[in-house]
Order: sequence, then structure tokens, then C-alpha cells
Amino acid sequence: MKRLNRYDGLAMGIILVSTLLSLWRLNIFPVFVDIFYHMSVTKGFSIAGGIVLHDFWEFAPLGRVHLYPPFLHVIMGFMYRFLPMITVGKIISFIMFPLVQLSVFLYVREVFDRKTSFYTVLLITVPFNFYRSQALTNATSLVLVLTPLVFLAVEKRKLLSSVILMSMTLYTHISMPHIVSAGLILYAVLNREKRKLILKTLGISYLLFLPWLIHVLVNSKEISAATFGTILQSEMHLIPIFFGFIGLVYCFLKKKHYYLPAMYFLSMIIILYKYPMRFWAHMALGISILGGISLSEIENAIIRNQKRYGMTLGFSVAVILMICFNIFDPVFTTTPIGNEFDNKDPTIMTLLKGNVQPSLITPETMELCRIVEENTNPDQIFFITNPTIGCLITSLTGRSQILGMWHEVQPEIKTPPAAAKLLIFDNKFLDNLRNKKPELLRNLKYVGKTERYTAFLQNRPVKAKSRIPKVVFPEILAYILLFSGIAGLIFDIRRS
Amino acid sequence: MEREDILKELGIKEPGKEEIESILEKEDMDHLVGGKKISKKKLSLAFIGGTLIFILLISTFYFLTSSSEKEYRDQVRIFKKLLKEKRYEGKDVSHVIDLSRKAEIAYRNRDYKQALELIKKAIEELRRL
Repeated sequence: MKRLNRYDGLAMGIILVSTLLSLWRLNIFPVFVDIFYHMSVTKGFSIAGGIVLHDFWEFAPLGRVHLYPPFLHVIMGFMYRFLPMITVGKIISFIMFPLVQLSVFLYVREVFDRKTSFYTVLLITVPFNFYRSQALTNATSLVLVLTPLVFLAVEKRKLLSSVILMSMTLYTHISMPHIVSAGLILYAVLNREKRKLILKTLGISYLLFLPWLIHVLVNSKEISAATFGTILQSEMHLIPIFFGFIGLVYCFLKKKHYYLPAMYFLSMIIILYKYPMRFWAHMALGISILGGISLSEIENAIIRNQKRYGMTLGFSVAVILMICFNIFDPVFTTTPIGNEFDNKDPTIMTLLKGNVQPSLITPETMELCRIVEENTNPDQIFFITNPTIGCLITSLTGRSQILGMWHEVQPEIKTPPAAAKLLIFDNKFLDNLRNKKPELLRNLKYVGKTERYTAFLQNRPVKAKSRIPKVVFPEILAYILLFSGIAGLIFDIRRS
Repeated sequence: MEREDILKELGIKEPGKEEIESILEKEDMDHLVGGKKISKKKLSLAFIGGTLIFILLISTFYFLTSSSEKEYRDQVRIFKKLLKEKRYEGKDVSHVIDLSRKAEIAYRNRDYKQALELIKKAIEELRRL
């Protein structure tokens, strides 16, 4: 480990300031709705007593095949043993940004140098859409946290660490880890020195991932092939992208270990095919490393000719850039019908001003949870017109819902809302129902109301019940495996 | 700045190799540690190449997403501003208003190209007044 210097101080300062500001804005966490899906999976695993291969908490009573890799849910499940589910969700949503800052800081610092690592941290902190996506797309965010660590282990020739980290990545998300693999394979093609290690790493990791991979492949017909958004929908943060492209070309010219971030970035382009909008957020990881490399080299080139005050001048440039990049973030936004250049607030500025949507955990959603819990038994099913709020209710009450999230996987048969014991309609839906099909409301008993929702109980007997499937991997074994992995990492690091 | 210059600046005479590495690392000169030097040629090439890719990306997206509809709305903004100025100067703008009405009808009929042509013509007329 290199000794700390003033560039480390700047990088740590940025991480500390953004983390403290996030803590100050804790009411925004968990950001948006994705975490509710993960919270409901965690709750489902907890009720079942381990990992199951069938969602019984969504699309009840029939459920659907469970294809989401379970690593994040195992971590959340362990936390849930000691903390309330809302706190678990808040922590997971909050922690991913500082973690990716730290992991990229470590990788670049150890493989390149401390100046490059400072510029990388600076650039990754600029785009607020990356901050938001880290807090929002929790499983992908965890993959992005693990990716620089996989790269670091590969560069340091630590086979055990690279296998453990790569396996963790594979068990976290269904598609993102394969982008990491693609980057590593391209790197192995170009860098003969690391070829053997990379092939060993990927070979063993995919072997360890084989059980889940087979499960996904067997049920691959359940996965929807839909593309989300259009390629013309973009949000380009011009500063990181400009320096990133310079870094991309520079890495190709420098070769050796410089190839890896370039190959990783090129592999990321495939996200454009499926999730165009997400590409412009997730790309920040790759583009920041490349941008960090180019900015650091530009600074070196400036101080090279300044014999007397070189180091002071270089550091001053770094400080000035740090201030400027945290004030100005020119962004080019496009949609299929137009485009615009705008100056957006960078992450630190946005958090400082507090222009962020508050969390969806509100007194209203808590009241809905109370209504569901009081009016249903644990095996009874509820229906709500907004399935994302449904996931939140499931994660806090344990009751299964008729609809669900993560629409990439659809159930074979959808159950009509009439199978639910409790029905929660948003007011607009209820008005429509009253006007168009009032007979559907005839057998319903009003049980509660919030600002936007009204809840009814079925008067007639309802037979549909959620059924818990057989556990394929007990909770306790999952925790043992998790801690064995962490122990393996510690052992491998200490060995050197 | 070369290693020798830095060492001279730091007032150190003829240090050993290990000492040099240690001093350079301490003094934030990671890029010189292990003989890693900046290649000006490579950096210049990267700067040119990177800038070209950047311009290519932005311009591609700009042209793919520029629409006559948006351009029309931008032109209407200019038109309104100019019209206000000319009215203030007491100029007769009735024939120009006629053109802008035709443009608005074309816009409502989703004939954005025609609308754009007409509004541009109206702006030209206003400028001539």
C-alpha cells in the first residue's frame, strides 16, 4: 500500500464531503422504487427460511419463477436479522455511492497512481445521474462497486480474491457481471501477461455460478426481450465524457494495464442496446477512470516544463479543477424529439441545495402497511393498483400481492384482482371503476383510506392463498458462504 | 520536469536508486516512479483522437435529435421578441403577422417543415423592416 499524500487527501475529502451531505439528506433514501423489489425478495427469503426458486410474494397465488441472483438479498437478509427492513433499504440505497467511490479510488491508486485516483474520484462524483443510479439500481450498483475490486485483484495477481469477487458479482445481477467478464476477456486478448490469470478467474467463477446459470438458462423463455427506452434518449455529462475519450485513446497508446479500463468501457456500450438511459448513468464508472488517467497525464505534462514551481502548480491545477467541476456540470440531453445543452448541478451541489425527491416511505405508505397487516392473515393476498408500493407493503408486512415488479420476468398466468382478500385502489382507478363497472364494487367492504388510496375487503369468502415453496439453499448456509467469501478475501490480502 | 531536476530542487545530491523512488513517491511524483515518463506525443495524439470522438458523438446525437418541431418553437421565440421590438418602433407588421399565422396553421397540421420555412420568412421580413 502506498503512503498517503496530498492527492489522497483531496480524494478522501471529496468522498467525505459527498458522504456527509448524503447523511444530511438521509430523508431521500431509499431513492425511488427499485429497493422495494429487493426488500420484498429479502422478506420472501426470510419467510421461507432461505433461497427459493419461485416468487410467492409477487403475482400470488401462482407466483413466478425467481431468476434474480441472490447475493444482494443474502446481504440484506443478514442485515434484516438485526435491523428493521426500512433501515436495511435505507442503508443499501445510501451506501452504494460512497462504496463505488472507495473501490474505484483503491483500484486506480494501486494500479495507476495517486493523482489519477484523485481525478477519477473527482470525475465520478460530478454527474448526479450516476449518484442517483447508485442509490436506485441497487444490484447493478453493487456490481459497479465490486468491478474495480475485481480489476484490482486481477492486476495484483490475486487469484483467490479475483475468483471470490467475480463470483459475488455474478451472483448479484443477471446481466451486468457479463459486461465485466467481456472487459476482462478483451483485456486478456491484448495483455498476454494477465491472460492465464483472467481465464482461470473467469473459468472458476462461472463454474461456481453454474447452479444459478443453469436455473436461468432452463427458465430463459420467461425473460422478456423488451428494450427499455430509446437509444436517442441520453444524458451526457460533457466534462467526464470529454476527458474520458482522451483517456480512452491514451490507454490504447500506453497499452499494458491501461487496456483494462478501456476494454471495460467498450464492453459497457452493450448496455445501450437494452437500457439506453441506464448506459449514460452507469458509464460514469468506466469513463471516470479513463478521464482520471487523461487529466492526471495532462497535469503531469503541465508541470513537466515548470522546473521551479512544478509540484505547487500541479497541485493548484488539481484544486482549481476540483472546485470548478463541483460547480459546473455542462450536460447535453437528448430525446427523440429534441435536445438541449444545460448546466446542471453536480452531485455535491445538488445535495447541498437539496433539490432531490424525498423517499416514497411516507406516512401514507406506512398507513397502507397498517391497513394490510390489520385486515389480512399472513397467507392472504392483497391487490394494489401500484405494484411498486405493493412491494414496499410486502417487504414490511410479509403479505403477498397479486401484481409485482421486475417486469423482465412475467408470470405464466396472471391472477385477476378478485382473488385478493384486500383490494387497494388509487382514487383515479376507483372513480373509473365507479363509472364503468360499479357492480365490481358491490361485494366490497370499505376498510380504510389514505390521501391517494382506498382499501376494501372482500365480503365473499376468498380461497386463494400464497404458498411458500421449498427452500433450495437454507439461510444459515448462505450466511456461512458469505462470511467464508469475506474470510477468503481477508486471508488472500494478508498473505502478501 | 526530470528526476534530476526535482532532486536538485529538493537539495539532494547523488542519491541511490531506492532513495530516489522514495523521495519521488513522497513528493507526489508517482508518474516518475519506476521510470514511468509522460509521452508528450502519445498525450497529444490522445487529445486529438479523444476530442474527435467527443465531437463525433455529440454531433451525431445532435443531428439525430434535432427536429423541425423544436427548431420551429425556437424560431417562434425569436419572432415574438423581434415583433415586440418592431411594434415598439411603430412599424407596420400586419403582413408579417399574416405569415406567422400561416406558419402556426402548418404547425398545427404537423407540417413542421412548412411551418419552419414560413416562420423563418416572417423573421426575415421583420428584420428588413
